[in-house]
Amino acid sequence: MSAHVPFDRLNDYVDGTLPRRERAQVEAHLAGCAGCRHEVDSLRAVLERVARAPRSISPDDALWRDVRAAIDERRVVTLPAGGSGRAGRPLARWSPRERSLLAVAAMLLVVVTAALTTVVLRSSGDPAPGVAAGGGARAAAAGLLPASFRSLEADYERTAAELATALDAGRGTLAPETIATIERSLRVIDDAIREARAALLDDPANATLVDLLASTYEQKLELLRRAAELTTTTI
Amino acid sequence: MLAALLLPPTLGAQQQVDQRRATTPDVSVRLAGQFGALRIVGWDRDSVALTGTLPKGARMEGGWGPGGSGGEPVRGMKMYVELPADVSAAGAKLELRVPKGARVWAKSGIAEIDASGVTGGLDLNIVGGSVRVAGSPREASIESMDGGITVDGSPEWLRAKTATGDITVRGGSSDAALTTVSGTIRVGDGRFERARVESVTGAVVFAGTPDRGASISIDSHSGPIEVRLPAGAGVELDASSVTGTIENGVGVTRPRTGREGRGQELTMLLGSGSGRLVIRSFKGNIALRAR
Repeated sequence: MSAHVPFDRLNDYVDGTLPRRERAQVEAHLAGCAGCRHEVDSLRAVLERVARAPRSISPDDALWRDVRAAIDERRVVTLPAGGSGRAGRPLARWSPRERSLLAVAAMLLVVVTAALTTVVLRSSGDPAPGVAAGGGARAAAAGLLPASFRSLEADYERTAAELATALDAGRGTLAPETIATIERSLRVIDDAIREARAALLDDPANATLVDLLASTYEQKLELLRRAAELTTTTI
Repeated sequence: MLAALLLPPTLGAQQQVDQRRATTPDVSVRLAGQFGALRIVGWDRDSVALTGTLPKGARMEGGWGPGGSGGEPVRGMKMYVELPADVSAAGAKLELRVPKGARVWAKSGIAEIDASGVTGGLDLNIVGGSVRVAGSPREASIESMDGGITVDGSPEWLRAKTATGDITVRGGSSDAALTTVSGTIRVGDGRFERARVESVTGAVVFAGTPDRGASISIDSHSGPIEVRLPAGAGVELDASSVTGTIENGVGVTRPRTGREGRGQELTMLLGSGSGRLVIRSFKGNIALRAR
């Protein structure tokens, strides 16, 4: 028999956060290892007990480490398989945890896309169609961000909305002072976004502004992700 | 085997916690729930000891992971502390002793977490309170909303994130990312290979030493940025502030006026220039100083 499955991996298997391939590997091992099957049963029993407990705090799980690493490394991770029957469900019928995962998946897509888009945007200058960089043209460009940034921004905003929905769904589990801290920080970020965005409208080819604005949007997504994570319970 | 833990009978208004097991040197430990103080200590033994006190009525769920039968060391521990609704977490004080090479994951609401001597991994998450890490774990991921984060040591891989809490790092890292919305980030002397420091409105003071071939970026929307470079630092420096100013105290190159006649930009080579240091700000001022 092969070596036992590491504890962390068994945890993730029970939590349903293992990528499909690793999940299959674990299941293959479990088929021939009574010891690990027993541990899985025990872990599930613990989770069931925890699930019945009040959810006043919000433990993390290995998924978020992968998510964080992916954000930091700008790489894609495989999120847990959605399972059959989920794809056609309206978002409102997904559980808060499922919505959080969906939002995080979307965020990952945006962050990876954002990194690429920012590189492309910076390398090309990419003014909006028909808008040349320059004093007179700048006025004509009022209200128009570079085309690729508009696309990037739409992705950011869509993902932020998904994460905000996930956060709202679990808002009741957070202490009022925590909500106040989150909202205060979101206001600070939104003010910064507005300011940088206005400056970029005035100077669409400014690469520093593009980088700073993208960075601030990422801060917003990251804060929303962490806040949404606070509303979920997995150990 | 994992099981619900039975805490000893109440002693006055508190319950004693005393859980001990022989473990593997790289045991994975997860501790979550409502505790107000957690001291994590890496020690030279292949065992885990969780001790402390919990308020009356507290429950501890979870248990020990694979292993443990026939004297085999266990490979994991997973605990969850739950308090009655009307009881403050401040009275839940725990000490967790783990093998140095353990991986410890802990999460609470408002808590003081103090970790020392762990060379494996730390993943610590709080809403408020504070986290202090002393030593040089291989990996450290620390997140807080408004609690402060202090690292005294040089984790190989370091991630520290807050919303309003301050981040202080006294040491270096080969791969660090420090992020805050409005807290202050202070980085003391230490060698950095790759580092990303970001704030929205918080001030940044970076006094780290760029390694040969280092890649370091510091971004802030409106927080002032102060970079203190050591003599002999070898970096290609690229600084720009869209509307703020740049003060160059490390070379003779004068900042030039930025795009559209506002802000300032500065590009210069220091020493061998083998590394790269990028500093960007929207309206915060940037100060480069020698140390």
